Amino acid sequence: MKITSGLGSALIAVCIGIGISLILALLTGASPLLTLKALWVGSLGTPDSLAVTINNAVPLILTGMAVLVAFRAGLFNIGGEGQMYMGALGAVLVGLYVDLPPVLEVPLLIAGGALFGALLAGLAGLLRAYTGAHEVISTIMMNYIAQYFVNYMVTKGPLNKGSYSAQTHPINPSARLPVLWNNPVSPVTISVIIALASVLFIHWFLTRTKQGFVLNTVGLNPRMATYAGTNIKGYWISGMMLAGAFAGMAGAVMVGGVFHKLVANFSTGAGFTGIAVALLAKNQPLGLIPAALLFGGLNSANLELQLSAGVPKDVVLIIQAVVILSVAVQAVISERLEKREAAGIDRVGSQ
Amino acid sequence: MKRKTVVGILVLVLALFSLTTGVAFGEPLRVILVTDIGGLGDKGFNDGGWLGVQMAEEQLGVTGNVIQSFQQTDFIPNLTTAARQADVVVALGFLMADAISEVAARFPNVKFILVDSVAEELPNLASYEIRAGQGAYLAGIVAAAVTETGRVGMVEPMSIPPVIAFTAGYGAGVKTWNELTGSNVELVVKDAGAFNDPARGKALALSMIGQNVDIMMSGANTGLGVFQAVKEKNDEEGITLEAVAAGTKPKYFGVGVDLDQDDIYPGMMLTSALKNVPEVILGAIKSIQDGTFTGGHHAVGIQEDATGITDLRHTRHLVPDEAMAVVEKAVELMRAGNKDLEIPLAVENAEKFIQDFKVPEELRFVLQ
Repeated sequence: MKITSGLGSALIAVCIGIGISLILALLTGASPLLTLKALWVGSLGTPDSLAVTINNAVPLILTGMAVLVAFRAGLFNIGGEGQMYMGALGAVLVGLYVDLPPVLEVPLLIAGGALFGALLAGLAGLLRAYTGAHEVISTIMMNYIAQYFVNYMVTKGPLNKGSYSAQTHPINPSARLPVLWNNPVSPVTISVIIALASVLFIHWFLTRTKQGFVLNTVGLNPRMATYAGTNIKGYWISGMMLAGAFAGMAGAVMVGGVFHKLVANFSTGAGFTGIAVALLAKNQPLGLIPAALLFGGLNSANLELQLSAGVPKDVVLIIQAVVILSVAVQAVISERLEKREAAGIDRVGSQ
Repeated sequence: MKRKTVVGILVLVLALFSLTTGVAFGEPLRVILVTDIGGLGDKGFNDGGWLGVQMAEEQLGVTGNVIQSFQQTDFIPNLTTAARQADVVVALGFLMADAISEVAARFPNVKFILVDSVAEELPNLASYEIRAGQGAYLAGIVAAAVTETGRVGMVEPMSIPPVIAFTAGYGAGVKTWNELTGSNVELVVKDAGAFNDPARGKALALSMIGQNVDIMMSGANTGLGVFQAVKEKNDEEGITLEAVAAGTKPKYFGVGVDLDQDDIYPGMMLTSALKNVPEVILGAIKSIQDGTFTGGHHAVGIQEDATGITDLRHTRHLVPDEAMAVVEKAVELMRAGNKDLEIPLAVENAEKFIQDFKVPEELRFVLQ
């Protein structure tokens, strides 16, 4: 009941955001009607755009998860981008150098990505636990280290395929993620299942397991957790590793499902968008799905907005930001209202 | 039976009509440019591509449109959508090479144009690489004629064969001037190791100036650092941009690459060796219109207006007329297809190339 009403008000916020966007489109000389149509056709309205939306959303669910899990342990993981790059590196190493039947190789590719992402994030957790280095700083810096290390590996490093192109050789066919829906524009692979399973797993983990409960406690009140005898350093490190594993998997599904190789600068900010996705989802695992679909759909609509509605790229970006902003504002306002309501009830109760 | 024949003929006629493109009916070709992540406003290849499409709109009467990509995963969806709506799809740069090859294979009836990279061999996909070494050759002649220290420099953003081809052409131009005039201008080459490192470019340029080099060619973002060093060193000598505009001759010069960079520091940029992306696209679209289009890999140079140097609008008065005469003659020879002046697209060893380079006999008569 609560979730549906949350969704309802989020939808209203999306509508308000779109309304403002239409005015913006009108001001820049585009037709609001065509803009509206392009938003719909370009995100969900045709099978092709639906496929692109889904494929945009999958890595965002996973990088959103990387922020969410760390946040539950009381840590800000700004390093999703770097962890995703390392994950892509781990995955491409499996894809290039391991030759097994797909049943074994595909899980190994995903695991390779998860491992590399987890190791990088774990390092930030380790630094936080034992040196006090703040994870915001260390994860931001590690983004650069990871991205440029991976870029080096594929441009001048040992993974470069030669012929001046900044990429690796293609991975073995057996390492490609199996395709569920062979859409000609953007084939949808089992990465969707991986993302959804991750969401369900973390939802279960955080609400139904002892470790999940302790992780939440560490995040909400580290002093109490220490008092209760929890090894909070251990939870910081393992929490970051779990978070990094999801970002790493985002990189792995890009390599195994989209590019089938590793390309320099393959991501332009999916790791950072994950932060916004997690915030929009109010750090609830199930909320990641609609939040990521919103971002993915707006990204997908960019094509139609440019082609059919004649909205230039910069205005497309503004429209995206306006829609997301209005959803975020709605989230904060409704939270305030809830608190005020709760406070009111308390007062009534005490009389 | 008779009805079937009629239907059959109708189908045949329709099929024939659909085989001939819209041009046959006087309908304009629909051209869509798909940019890479840089997008419009990059003052680089993407802007050049859009300019080319706009020139085709004006001169050839096609209708043009552009799709800008936000992320690398957009390339294939964007190219596919473009292919569904257009007769001609244009893309630029090596980032797009794999994606355009994949999409072109799925749309055999649509023509694809890729500039400044090599794509797969397909009958409906033409990739154009620009012999920018020819432009660098002309710049080399001009630089060798203008230097006062007798040393000109090249800061390679990254020593890979397509970049070394610039050095090779530039050095061949210097050698030409030396042989024609009996001077002894030297070429100093340094590798910055990164396209995107202006700080390193600047440091290398300063060290070159310390070694008595007064004219430096460079490119990409790294080159911007080189040109900044040129300006600062001139400033130190009291030669500001205002002084140059008022007629003072700068002590140090930069030579731009790929784009017309003469206006970065007007008067302090001797010239630029160009990659004329708009002209290449215009030519490719024209070839589709008049039916001479062929798929596969094309190397284009001065013959196709794909390269050259700028009009020296700020520096012409500093260049001896003899040098301009040599440049003019060299352009003429290149247009006529002179094999010695066909600087390759990729060179492994610039030093060896320059050593083996034979100055065309025809150029010797220019100064006599």
